[in-house]
Amino acid sequence: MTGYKCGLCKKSVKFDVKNIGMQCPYCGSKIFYKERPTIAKRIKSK
Amino acid sequence: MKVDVKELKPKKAIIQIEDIKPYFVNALRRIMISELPKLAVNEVVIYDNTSALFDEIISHRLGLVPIPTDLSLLLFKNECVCKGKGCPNCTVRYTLSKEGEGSVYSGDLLPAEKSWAIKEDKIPIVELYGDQRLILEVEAVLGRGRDHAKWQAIQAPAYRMEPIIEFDKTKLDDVKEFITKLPENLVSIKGNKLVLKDVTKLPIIESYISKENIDYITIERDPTKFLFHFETDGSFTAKDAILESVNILQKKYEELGKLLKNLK
Amino acid sequence: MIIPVRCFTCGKVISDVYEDYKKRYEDYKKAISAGEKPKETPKQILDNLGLDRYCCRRMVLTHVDLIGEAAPYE
Repeated sequence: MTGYKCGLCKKSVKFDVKNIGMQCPYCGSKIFYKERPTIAKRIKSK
Repeated sequence: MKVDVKELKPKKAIIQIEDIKPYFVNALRRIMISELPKLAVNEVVIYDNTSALFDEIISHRLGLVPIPTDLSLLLFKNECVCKGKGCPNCTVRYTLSKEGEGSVYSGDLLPAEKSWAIKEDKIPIVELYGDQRLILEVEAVLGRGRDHAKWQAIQAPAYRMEPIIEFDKTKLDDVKEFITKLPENLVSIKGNKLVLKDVTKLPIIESYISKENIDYITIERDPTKFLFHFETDGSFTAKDAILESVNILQKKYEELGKLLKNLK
Repeated sequence: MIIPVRCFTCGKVISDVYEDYKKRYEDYKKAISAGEKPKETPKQILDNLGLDRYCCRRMVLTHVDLIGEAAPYE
């Protein structure tokens, strides 16, 4: 289960891996952003 | 050797060095580029970033921000007493957290200790719109210019040899006519030489000579007189930077001397 | 996108003067379109901001600020 954010209504939605044809249950939009995990990310500056 | 300081500003210096060979000035120039250590952001821990730029771009931009460096207080991370783990002797830490409309500037990086505050505080890192958020922590360590350009403290160090512009004395009248074609106050006649008011304007006279196809004026360069100029990015003052560079060069030769003593 | 922190060629920090340049350039453009004599030309602005070499001048002069276009997307 990964969290997604709807591109139109900005609500957080959860989808199953088996899910085919993602659609926002609130507004019907098909554009999603993947939500950023809350772990700290360590990068080298170069 | 004779040294004359022509200009000394906090971030810029012009120094005239006389009675010396080019290799010597070049050694100093190369030390300035690749050997002088300075602080720069090396690791970035990003907790949240909802801005328009990628994490990697932001960390790259943070790396290029000049951080005021005091070399007497710092050690290289791998030569430090903490054996590379990171301690106050070798790492300087900053935190940044900003939310909502507006630009994030390098001045928003808050140091753990006040003495490490960033002086170049007007460098934009990213622009935030709406409710975008940026929370991160950075670690700055000492490094050398040969490893990455972000550790290069001195910008554009260069030297020029003093030009000697001579002309055929029998063609004095032609030279006088030629000077009227040049921009005003560029050169003056002294014996059988032309003296430039400003050495950096040499290309102007060169272009006029090739344009008019003049063969009675020759330009040569004096390989014992140098005008050495450089700028710093703000991590050192120009004075500290050149003194430290000379120190490094001296230490290198001393080390070489010690090693050669053991030769039999 | 956003103004680069340093000049690509020589490494001088140039991003800190960009906002100032933009503001003064707007003043210049306003004066020109109103038919008045501008207080300073772009050349004078660049000289005043300490951008002596042409590598640093082109960084500021030719930059197109597009971060506003990408801003709605995270």
